[in-house]
Amino acid sequence: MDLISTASKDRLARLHGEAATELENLERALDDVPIPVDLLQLTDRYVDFSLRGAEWQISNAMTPVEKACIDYCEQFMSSVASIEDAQVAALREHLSPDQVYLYANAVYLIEMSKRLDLTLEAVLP
Amino acid sequence: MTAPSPRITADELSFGAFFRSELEQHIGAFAAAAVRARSIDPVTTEIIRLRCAQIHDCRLCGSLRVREALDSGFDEEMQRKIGAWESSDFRPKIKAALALCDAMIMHPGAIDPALRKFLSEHFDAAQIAEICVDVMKWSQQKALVSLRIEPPASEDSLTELRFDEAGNPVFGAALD
Repeated sequence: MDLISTASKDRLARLHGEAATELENLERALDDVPIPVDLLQLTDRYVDFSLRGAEWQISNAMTPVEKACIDYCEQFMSSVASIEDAQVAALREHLSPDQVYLYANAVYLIEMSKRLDLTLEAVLP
Repeated sequence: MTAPSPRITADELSFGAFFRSELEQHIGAFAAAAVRARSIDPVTTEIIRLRCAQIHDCRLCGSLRVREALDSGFDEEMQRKIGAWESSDFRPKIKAALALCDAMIMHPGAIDPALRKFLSEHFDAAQIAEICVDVMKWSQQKALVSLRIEPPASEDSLTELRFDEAGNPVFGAALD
């Protein structure tokens, strides 16, 4: 999974080489996280849509675990401190504690790397 | 106010997932790389760190003060100004860093071109990149906040935070 664009990778490599290297390592590590890849890809698409101001179409075809992930992810992005017990409990109905913990870290990584990407694009030449 | 209860506990996690997963190790390596960068002064970095803690409501981050920043002049009066930094008497350079921090966390897809100009008046490109990487690093605890497993280092006082040469965190003594 590409966390940031090629242009941002090039900018980071030029300006903050160590961070660029570690981000590449994180991309590889994310590919190996023991969470269904379709959930991570869904999360990636949702974060991308949200940060670009696009409207996310909630599909009736979404499974309960997908809905739980998007619900958690939406709150994680807008106000992480406002996540409710029920939202994490909904994740726990479908994912093991290890997976919930890793999913939380994966959401952080996907979200903040996209924020980094958009910000670098906007404020650097 | 009652402290939030953990939504997952260490006992529920297998050794390989909690602090030992490959993902966790690489997140730590990224964080250490962010800390090792030194083009931004320690006080500005501390103010950015605490702004992230404030926005994310990270109890652990808010309970810590970086020793190097304290030694460089950071104090609690500065901390109290962070929440209303736009109307504060912070220097323009610090305000520029905080404006970048807020933009990245709140609306990175709609950053005003004026911010780019404001930043260029105070920082070079490498410094701007360092601040952006810092904001990502200081947002690392969002995962723990979401699960409410980020208790303060101490309930009674602020705690000193240092970093070793590799950029890894070392919790220190309670601060008066």
